[in-house]
Amino acid sequence: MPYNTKLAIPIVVVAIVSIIVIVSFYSYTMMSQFYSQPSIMMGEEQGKLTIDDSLKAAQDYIEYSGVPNLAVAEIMEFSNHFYIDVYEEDTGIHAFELIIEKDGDVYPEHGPNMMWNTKYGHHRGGMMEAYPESAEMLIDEDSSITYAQNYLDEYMPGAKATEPHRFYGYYTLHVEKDGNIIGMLSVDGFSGDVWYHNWHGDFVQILELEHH
Amino acid sequence: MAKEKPTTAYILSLIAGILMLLGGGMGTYSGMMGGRSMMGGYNMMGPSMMGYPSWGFGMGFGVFGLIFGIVVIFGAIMLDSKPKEHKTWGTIILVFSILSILGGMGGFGIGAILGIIGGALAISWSPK
Repeated sequence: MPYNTKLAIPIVVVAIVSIIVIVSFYSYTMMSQFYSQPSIMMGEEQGKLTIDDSLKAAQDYIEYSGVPNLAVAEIMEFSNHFYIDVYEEDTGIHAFELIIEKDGDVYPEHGPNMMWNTKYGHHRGGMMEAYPESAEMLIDEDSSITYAQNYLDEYMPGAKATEPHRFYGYYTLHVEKDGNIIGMLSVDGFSGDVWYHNWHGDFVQILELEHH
Repeated sequence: MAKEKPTTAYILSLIAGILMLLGGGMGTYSGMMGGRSMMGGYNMMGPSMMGYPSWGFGMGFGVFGLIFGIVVIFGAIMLDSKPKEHKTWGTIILVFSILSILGGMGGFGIGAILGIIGGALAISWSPK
């Protein structure tokens, strides 16, 4: 056998150990950077955020993103966290939704914001480019209310869908009962599917900032 | 009589380089597409959420993978054509196979492992 295995095996072992060290160091460095990003950890103080603090955190996040013409449309405080609706000032179309935890963590909202948002979400342009990166949808605002109301009539009798906000690929609406906001849901602008936001908890208060 | 060559080391290194090229190519393509589809979850909190293609990040990794793959393939070819320099080319194959973990996903992991074995065999080759 023309190979000296007594030399080859230690080389392989050292190489594999090197890989483990490199990957461990790299992972540690990446995680450190990730958690030190100002947009991810806005909680300068460990105390609970107020709704004004959440507005500042959202504005910092938008500024940090570097995307121009974005502003906060509304903030809804729920028992679990703050919900932030960000819109495009130049088009008036709602861009994306954020969640700010009460300890200051800021991150894009999961659910429709990730899966249905054709411009800012995970499926930008849609799966296999099926949907355009525009706010033009098959379902209009009035129809989105109809789809949402049909859902509520079946699963939350007495609740009412109001204020559809047009995002890229979907609408997000308030859910009200007896004139009070109790939650939110989204309607897919192409299929009419309804996705109830069951992760917010109980509604506390709302701060509306968008000027139509 | 045919010249003796480190054939096993050459073949393993060549396969490793090809796998690294494939991994690097996929990484580059994914980076150009904004990390969509191939690098799925990576985007959820990342640049594409904000409407930016993640060129700098995903594409940079892919390009490194391509470069490492090319170097490993070149090392394998040189190993085959100049077997007397087996320690030099074996070391190059070994080092770039280790580094390929940081770019192009190490040829899907398998590429890096084959490259390491190929490099080690090239270094330890002792013609009769």
